[in-house]
Amino acid sequence: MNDTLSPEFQSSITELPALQKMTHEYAKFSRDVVGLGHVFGGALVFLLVFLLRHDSLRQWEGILLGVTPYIWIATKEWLRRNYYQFSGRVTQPVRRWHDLILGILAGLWAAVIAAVLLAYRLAQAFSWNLALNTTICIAILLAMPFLAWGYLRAPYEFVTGVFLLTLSAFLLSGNLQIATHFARALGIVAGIVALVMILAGYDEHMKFLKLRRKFRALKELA
Amino acid sequence: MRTDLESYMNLDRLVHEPARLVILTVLAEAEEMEFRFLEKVSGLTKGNLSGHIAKLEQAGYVQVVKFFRGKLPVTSFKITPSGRRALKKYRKELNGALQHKPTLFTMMKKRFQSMSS
Repeated sequence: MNDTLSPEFQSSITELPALQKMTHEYAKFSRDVVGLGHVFGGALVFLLVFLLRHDSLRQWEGILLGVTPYIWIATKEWLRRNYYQFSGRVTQPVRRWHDLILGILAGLWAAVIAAVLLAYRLAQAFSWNLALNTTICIAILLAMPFLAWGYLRAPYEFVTGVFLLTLSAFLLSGNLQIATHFARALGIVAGIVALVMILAGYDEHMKFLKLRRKFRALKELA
Repeated sequence: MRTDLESYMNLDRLVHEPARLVILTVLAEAEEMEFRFLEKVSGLTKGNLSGHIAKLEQAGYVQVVKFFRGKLPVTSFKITPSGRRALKKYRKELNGALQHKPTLFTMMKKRFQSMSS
């Protein structure tokens, strides 16, 4: 047995309330908590806002940046399943109302963005380059409530995720100018939330390392 | 039989068994849990764990879900609403039995009994 396993530490992992707590903590990684996934998401917000402050971006670079929020979501989900839930999947009790409210909020946000775009279009403030671009933008805005419902569960994750997905809708539809305006207008708010998300993600990761240590100790005790 | 002992004797023995108590308590913290996790947390061997789960499933306290993830078979467990109720009832009864405090009525009854004998 490891010498570092003091009696206090042993009781903190073998007593029933301790096991309950460990299970509860571990199950959190199935939904709200993603540690490094949050750190990456926050960093991505800063990166996109920083890059979009410069007008020198080319169209293909904009499209490349537009893909990054999906890479972040995919990485986050991969981390959740394969790294943080290292000892088999344990799911947190479903909070249907919580998820539904997030989906509705994202839907409202998408509707507001669509209405603003339509108003600008009617005022001839800009023109869509291609019909395909319009379709891509609308498709992403329509998919947003479902993406939020499925993958953006923590409050800060929701705010930054919706910001990134909206940005992605503009970038992928080739509307680099609107994306730049959008990033400039909401960059500070998104940046503040992203900073909170990075700090929360770091804290979650530290808690995970502690939890993993307890699990390893359990294995040693067995 | 004394009433405080009576409540202890009436405890659900299916839940009262230590390994099953650990299984139910841990399962109550999650929506669904894979075999691998429960095995590690409970410290039980595969065979032992399967045996206890079979008993809990038979009682309707646990639901066993079997599926394939790619080509790998996966077994996971869910605590049922009746399992949750049984665990809650067990905790309440055990707490009641361990922290039984005599009421004014039982104290007076004992006093009268001792006086009459």
